[in-house]
Amino acid sequence: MEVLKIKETSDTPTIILDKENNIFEISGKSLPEDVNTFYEPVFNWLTKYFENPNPETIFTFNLDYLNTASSKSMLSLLLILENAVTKGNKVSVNWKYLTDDEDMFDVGEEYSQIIKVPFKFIPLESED
Amino acid sequence: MPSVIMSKKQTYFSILSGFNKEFNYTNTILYYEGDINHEITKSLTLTTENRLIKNNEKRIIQKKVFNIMVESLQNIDKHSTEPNSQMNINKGAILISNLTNYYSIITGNIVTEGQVKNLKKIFNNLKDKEKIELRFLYKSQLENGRLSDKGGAGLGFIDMARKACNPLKSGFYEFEKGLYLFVLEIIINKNL
Repeated sequence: MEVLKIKETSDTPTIILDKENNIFEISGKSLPEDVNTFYEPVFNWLTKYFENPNPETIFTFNLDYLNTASSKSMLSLLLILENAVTKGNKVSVNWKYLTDDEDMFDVGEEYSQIIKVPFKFIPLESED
Repeated sequence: MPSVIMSKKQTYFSILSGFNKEFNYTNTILYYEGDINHEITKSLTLTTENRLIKNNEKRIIQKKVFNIMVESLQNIDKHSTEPNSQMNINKGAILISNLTNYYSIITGNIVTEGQVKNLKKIFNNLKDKEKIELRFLYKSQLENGRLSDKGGAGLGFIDMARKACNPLKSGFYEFEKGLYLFVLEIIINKNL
Protein backbone atom coordinates (compact mmCIF):
# COMPACT_ATOMS: atom_id res chain seq x y z
CA MET A 1 0.00 0.00 0.00
CA GLU A 2 1.33 3.41 -0.98
CA VAL A 3 2.65 5.70 1.76
CA LEU A 4 0.63 8.88 2.42
CA LYS A 5 2.93 11.70 3.42
CA ILE A 6 1.70 15.28 3.88
CA LYS A 7 4.23 17.95 4.76
CA GLU A 8 3.46 20.49 7.47
CA THR A 9 2.42 24.03 6.48
CA SER A 10 1.54 27.05 8.65
CA ASP A 11 -2.07 25.84 8.86
CA THR A 12 -1.94 22.09 8.28
CA PRO A 13 -0.20 19.26 10.16
CA THR A 14 2.37 16.68 9.09
CA ILE A 15 0.74 13.35 8.35
CA ILE A 16 2.53 10.05 7.77
CA LEU A 17 0.56 6.91 7.02
CA ASP A 18 2.97 4.08 6.23
CA LYS A 19 1.69 0.52 6.37
CA GLU A 20 5.00 -1.16 5.56
CA ASN A 21 6.90 0.56 8.40
CA ASN A 22 3.86 0.56 10.67
CA ILE A 23 3.87 4.35 11.17
CA PHE A 24 0.61 6.25 11.59
CA GLU A 25 1.14 9.76 12.80
CA ILE A 26 -0.30 13.26 12.78
CA SER A 27 1.61 16.19 14.25
CA GLY A 28 1.55 20.00 14.31
CA LYS A 29 -1.18 22.58 13.89
CA SER A 30 -4.49 22.04 12.14
CA LEU A 31 -6.54 25.05 11.08
CA PRO A 32 -7.00 24.60 7.31
CA GLU A 33 -9.39 26.75 5.35
CA ASP A 34 -11.31 23.69 4.18
CA VAL A 35 -10.99 20.74 6.56
CA ASN A 36 -12.98 18.36 4.36
CA THR A 37 -10.69 18.71 1.36
CA PHE A 38 -7.61 18.40 3.55
CA TYR A 39 -8.67 15.29 5.49
CA GLU A 40 -10.46 13.42 2.71
CA PRO A 41 -7.33 11.60 1.42
CA VAL A 42 -6.46 10.68 5.03
CA PHE A 43 -9.88 9.14 5.67
CA ASN A 44 -9.77 7.32 2.32
CA TRP A 45 -6.32 5.92 3.04
CA LEU A 46 -7.32 4.67 6.50
CA THR A 47 -10.58 3.13 5.30
CA LYS A 48 -8.65 1.22 2.63
CA TYR A 49 -5.90 0.26 5.11
CA PHE A 50 -8.38 -1.30 7.54
CA GLU A 51 -9.61 -3.64 4.81
CA ASN A 52 -6.31 -5.44 5.38
CA PRO A 53 -4.49 -3.89 8.38
CA ASN A 54 -1.24 -4.82 10.17
CA PRO A 55 -1.53 -7.10 13.24
CA GLU A 56 -1.28 -4.03 15.47
CA THR A 57 -1.93 -0.37 14.62
CA ILE A 58 -0.76 2.41 16.94
CA PHE A 59 -1.91 5.85 15.81
CA THR A 60 0.19 8.70 17.21
CA PHE A 61 -1.24 12.18 17.74
CA ASN A 62 1.29 14.87 18.52
CA LEU A 63 -0.77 17.99 18.01
CA ASP A 64 0.02 21.55 18.83
CA TYR A 65 -3.34 23.07 18.02
CA LEU A 66 -6.69 22.06 16.54
CA ASN A 67 -9.32 24.57 15.49
CA THR A 68 -12.97 23.66 16.03
CA ALA A 69 -13.52 22.42 12.48
CA SER A 70 -10.42 20.21 12.74
CA SER A 71 -11.56 18.82 16.06
CA LYS A 72 -14.60 17.44 14.23
CA SER A 73 -12.30 15.94 11.56
CA MET A 74 -10.20 14.31 14.30
CA LEU A 75 -13.40 12.80 15.65
CA SER A 76 -14.15 11.35 12.19
CA LEU A 77 -10.61 9.93 12.05
CA LEU A 78 -11.00 8.38 15.50
CA LEU A 79 -14.34 6.90 14.46
CA ILE A 80 -12.54 5.04 11.67
CA LEU A 81 -10.20 3.62 14.33
CA GLU A 82 -13.14 2.76 16.59
CA ASN A 83 -14.85 0.99 13.73
CA ALA A 84 -11.70 -1.09 13.17
CA VAL A 85 -11.63 -2.02 16.87
CA THR A 86 -15.29 -3.07 16.69
CA LYS A 87 -14.36 -5.40 13.83
CA GLY A 88 -11.79 -7.08 16.09
CA ASN A 89 -8.58 -5.29 15.02
CA LYS A 90 -5.87 -4.36 17.50
CA VAL A 91 -5.80 -0.56 17.35
CA SER A 92 -4.72 2.03 19.92
CA VAL A 93 -3.88 5.73 20.20
CA ASN A 94 -0.74 7.35 21.57
CA TRP A 95 -1.65 10.90 22.54
CA LYS A 96 1.47 13.02 22.99
CA TYR A 97 1.26 16.44 24.66
CA LEU A 98 3.60 18.97 26.23
CA THR A 99 3.59 18.69 30.03
CA ASP A 100 2.41 22.29 30.51
CA ASP A 101 -0.18 22.15 27.73
CA GLU A 102 -3.31 21.34 29.68
CA ASP A 103 -5.51 22.32 26.72
CA MET A 104 -4.09 19.65 24.38
CA PHE A 105 -4.19 17.05 27.15
CA ASP A 106 -7.87 17.89 27.79
CA VAL A 107 -8.68 17.49 24.09
CA GLY A 108 -7.15 13.99 24.12
CA GLU A 109 -8.88 13.05 27.32
CA GLU A 110 -12.25 14.10 25.94
CA TYR A 111 -11.74 12.03 22.79
CA SER A 112 -10.72 9.05 24.89
CA GLN A 113 -14.04 9.32 26.74
CA ILE A 114 -16.09 9.55 23.55
CA ILE A 115 -14.26 6.98 21.39
CA LYS A 116 -13.97 3.31 22.25
CA VAL A 117 -10.27 2.92 21.41
CA PRO A 118 -7.51 2.45 24.04
CA PHE A 119 -5.58 5.72 24.62
CA LYS A 120 -2.11 6.06 26.07
CA PHE A 121 -1.10 9.59 27.19
CA ILE A 122 2.55 10.45 26.69
CA PRO A 123 3.83 13.70 28.26
CA LEU A 124 6.69 15.48 26.50
CA GLU A 125 9.05 17.96 28.15
CA SER A 126 8.07 21.56 27.44
CA GLU A 127 10.52 24.06 25.94
CA ASP A 128 9.83 26.68 28.61
CA MET B 1 -25.64 41.67 27.50
CA PRO B 2 -26.54 45.15 26.30
CA SER B 3 -28.19 45.88 22.96
CA VAL B 4 -27.63 49.54 22.34
CA ILE B 5 -27.97 51.73 19.33
CA MET B 6 -24.77 52.92 17.70
CA SER B 7 -24.55 56.63 17.17
CA LYS B 8 -23.44 57.91 13.75
CA LYS B 9 -20.12 59.03 15.18
CA GLN B 10 -19.20 55.62 16.55
CA THR B 11 -16.81 53.42 14.64
CA TYR B 12 -15.53 49.89 15.07
CA PHE B 13 -12.48 51.31 16.79
CA SER B 14 -14.38 53.53 19.22
CA ILE B 15 -16.65 50.66 20.23
CA LEU B 16 -13.92 48.01 20.51
CA SER B 17 -11.54 50.26 22.42
CA GLY B 18 -14.36 51.43 24.69
CA PHE B 19 -15.32 47.85 25.50
CA ASN B 20 -12.49 47.44 28.02
CA LYS B 21 -12.08 50.34 30.46
CA GLU B 22 -8.35 49.67 30.76
CA PHE B 23 -7.75 50.25 27.04
CA ASN B 24 -4.68 52.35 26.33
CA TYR B 25 -2.96 53.06 22.98
CA THR B 26 0.47 52.14 24.31
CA ASN B 27 -0.74 48.66 25.30
CA THR B 28 -2.13 47.85 21.88
CA ILE B 29 -0.48 44.88 20.17
CA LEU B 30 -2.70 44.86 17.13
CA TYR B 31 -5.68 46.61 15.65
CA TYR B 32 -7.13 45.50 12.34
CA GLU B 33 -10.33 46.40 10.57
CA GLY B 34 -11.44 45.22 7.14
CA ASP B 35 -12.12 42.06 5.23
CA ILE B 36 -11.47 38.86 7.15
CA ASN B 37 -10.51 35.68 5.31
CA HIS B 38 -8.17 32.74 5.78
CA GLU B 39 -5.03 34.51 4.49
CA ILE B 40 -5.68 37.55 6.68
CA THR B 41 -6.32 35.30 9.70
CA LYS B 42 -2.94 33.64 9.10
CA SER B 43 -1.06 36.94 8.82
CA LEU B 44 -2.74 38.53 11.85
CA THR B 45 -2.06 35.51 14.06
CA LEU B 46 1.54 35.25 12.85
CA THR B 47 2.16 38.97 13.51
CA THR B 48 0.76 38.64 17.03
CA GLU B 49 2.69 35.44 17.72
CA ASN B 50 5.95 37.13 16.71
CA ARG B 51 5.18 40.07 18.93
CA LEU B 52 4.60 37.79 21.94
CA ILE B 53 7.82 35.88 21.22
CA LYS B 54 9.67 39.21 21.18
CA ASN B 55 8.10 40.04 24.55
CA ASN B 56 9.37 36.68 25.89
CA GLU B 57 5.86 35.63 26.73
CA LYS B 58 5.47 32.05 27.98
CA ARG B 59 4.87 29.55 25.19
CA ILE B 60 1.68 28.32 26.77
CA ILE B 61 0.24 31.87 26.83
CA GLN B 62 1.37 32.47 23.24
CA LYS B 63 -0.54 29.33 22.29
CA LYS B 64 -3.70 30.42 24.08
CA VAL B 65 -3.65 33.83 22.38
CA PHE B 66 -3.01 32.15 19.02
CA ASN B 67 -5.81 29.60 19.53
CA ILE B 68 -8.37 32.18 20.52
CA MET B 69 -7.41 34.54 17.69
CA VAL B 70 -7.79 31.76 15.12
CA GLU B 71 -11.13 30.65 16.51
CA SER B 72 -12.60 34.14 16.70
CA LEU B 73 -11.34 35.24 13.26
CA GLN B 74 -12.53 32.01 11.61
CA ASN B 75 -15.90 32.57 13.28
CA ILE B 76 -16.09 36.03 11.70
CA ASP B 77 -14.91 34.68 8.34
CA LYS B 78 -17.57 31.96 8.30
CA HIS B 79 -20.55 33.51 10.06
CA SER B 80 -20.35 37.29 9.72
CA THR B 81 -22.98 38.94 7.57
CA GLU B 82 -21.27 40.50 4.55
CA PRO B 83 -21.74 44.26 4.45
CA ASN B 84 -23.13 45.61 1.16
CA SER B 85 -21.60 48.57 -0.66
CA GLN B 86 -24.04 51.12 0.80
CA MET B 87 -23.25 50.19 4.37
CA ASN B 88 -19.93 51.96 4.77
CA ILE B 89 -18.80 49.42 7.35
CA ASN B 90 -16.16 46.69 7.24
CA LYS B 91 -16.72 42.96 7.63
CA GLY B 92 -14.89 42.75 10.94
CA ALA B 93 -12.31 44.11 13.36
CA ILE B 94 -9.96 42.83 16.05
CA LEU B 95 -8.14 44.63 18.86
CA ILE B 96 -5.50 42.94 20.99
CA SER B 97 -4.13 44.60 24.10
CA ASN B 98 -1.33 43.61 26.43
CA LEU B 99 -2.49 44.71 29.89
CA THR B 100 -0.74 44.27 33.22
CA ASN B 101 -2.22 40.92 34.21
CA TYR B 102 -3.86 39.71 31.04
CA TYR B 103 -4.25 39.88 27.28
CA SER B 104 -7.54 41.19 25.94
CA ILE B 105 -8.81 40.06 22.54
CA ILE B 106 -11.82 42.05 21.32
CA THR B 107 -13.51 41.31 18.02
CA GLY B 108 -16.37 43.00 16.19
CA ASN B 109 -18.45 41.90 13.22
CA ILE B 110 -21.86 42.33 11.62
CA VAL B 111 -24.73 40.02 12.47
CA THR B 112 -28.44 39.87 11.67
CA GLU B 113 -31.25 40.00 14.21
CA GLY B 114 -31.66 36.23 13.94
CA GLN B 115 -27.97 35.71 14.67
CA VAL B 116 -28.22 38.02 17.70
CA LYS B 117 -30.96 35.77 19.11
CA ASN B 118 -28.83 32.65 18.63
CA LEU B 119 -25.71 34.27 20.04
CA LYS B 120 -27.55 35.51 23.13
CA LYS B 121 -28.83 31.98 23.69
CA ILE B 122 -25.29 30.56 23.39
CA PHE B 123 -23.78 33.14 25.78
CA ASN B 124 -26.60 32.72 28.26
CA ASN B 125 -25.86 29.02 28.29
CA LEU B 126 -22.13 29.64 28.88
CA LYS B 127 -22.67 32.23 31.59
CA ASP B 128 -21.38 31.34 35.07
CA LYS B 129 -20.18 27.93 33.94
CA GLU B 130 -17.14 26.46 35.68
CA LYS B 131 -14.34 24.94 33.60
CA ILE B 132 -15.50 21.42 34.34
CA GLU B 133 -19.02 22.26 33.12
CA LEU B 134 -17.60 23.83 29.97
CA ARG B 135 -15.63 20.64 29.33
CA PHE B 136 -18.77 18.59 29.74
CA LEU B 137 -20.66 20.90 27.40
CA TYR B 138 -17.85 20.74 24.83
CA LYS B 139 -17.81 16.96 24.98
CA SER B 140 -21.55 16.61 24.58
CA GLN B 141 -21.56 19.07 21.64
CA LEU B 142 -18.71 17.15 20.03
CA GLU B 143 -20.66 13.93 20.55
CA ASN B 144 -23.65 15.54 18.83
CA GLY B 145 -21.28 16.19 15.96
CA ARG B 146 -20.97 12.42 15.61
CA LEU B 147 -24.54 12.38 14.44
CA SER B 148 -24.57 15.25 11.97
CA ASP B 149 -22.23 17.70 10.26
CA LYS B 150 -24.40 20.55 11.49
CA GLY B 151 -24.15 19.42 15.09
CA GLY B 152 -22.05 21.11 17.69
CA ALA B 153 -23.58 24.58 17.60
CA GLY B 154 -21.48 27.07 19.49
CA LEU B 155 -18.56 24.64 19.80
CA GLY B 156 -16.13 27.44 18.94
CA PHE B 157 -17.45 29.70 21.71
CA ILE B 158 -17.37 26.90 24.27
CA ASP B 159 -13.79 26.18 23.25
CA MET B 160 -12.80 29.84 23.61
CA ALA B 161 -14.46 30.10 27.04
CA ARG B 162 -12.68 27.06 28.44
CA LYS B 163 -9.30 27.96 26.96
CA ALA B 164 -9.53 31.52 28.22
CA CYS B 165 -10.54 30.35 31.72
CA ASN B 166 -12.54 33.61 31.94
CA PRO B 167 -16.14 34.42 31.06
CA LEU B 168 -16.70 35.74 27.54
CA LYS B 169 -18.07 39.27 27.44
CA SER B 170 -20.39 40.16 24.59
CA GLY B 171 -22.33 43.20 23.39
CA PHE B 172 -24.64 44.08 20.51
CA TYR B 173 -24.95 47.51 18.89
CA GLU B 174 -27.67 48.19 16.36
CA PHE B 175 -26.34 50.32 13.50
CA GLU B 176 -29.04 49.80 10.93
CA LYS B 177 -32.52 48.30 11.12
CA GLY B 178 -32.09 44.57 11.68
CA LEU B 179 -28.28 44.70 11.58
CA TYR B 180 -26.01 44.69 14.60
CA LEU B 181 -22.36 44.99 15.48
CA PHE B 182 -21.51 41.99 17.62
CA VAL B 183 -18.61 42.62 20.01
CA LEU B 184 -16.85 39.85 21.92
CA GLU B 185 -14.05 40.14 24.46
CA ILE B 186 -11.91 37.21 25.54
CA ILE B 187 -9.49 37.62 28.44
CA ILE B 188 -6.38 35.46 28.84
CA ASN B 189 -4.62 35.69 32.20
CA LYS B 190 -0.83 35.89 32.13
CA ASN B 191 -0.45 33.85 35.27
CA LEU B 192 -2.18 30.55 34.87
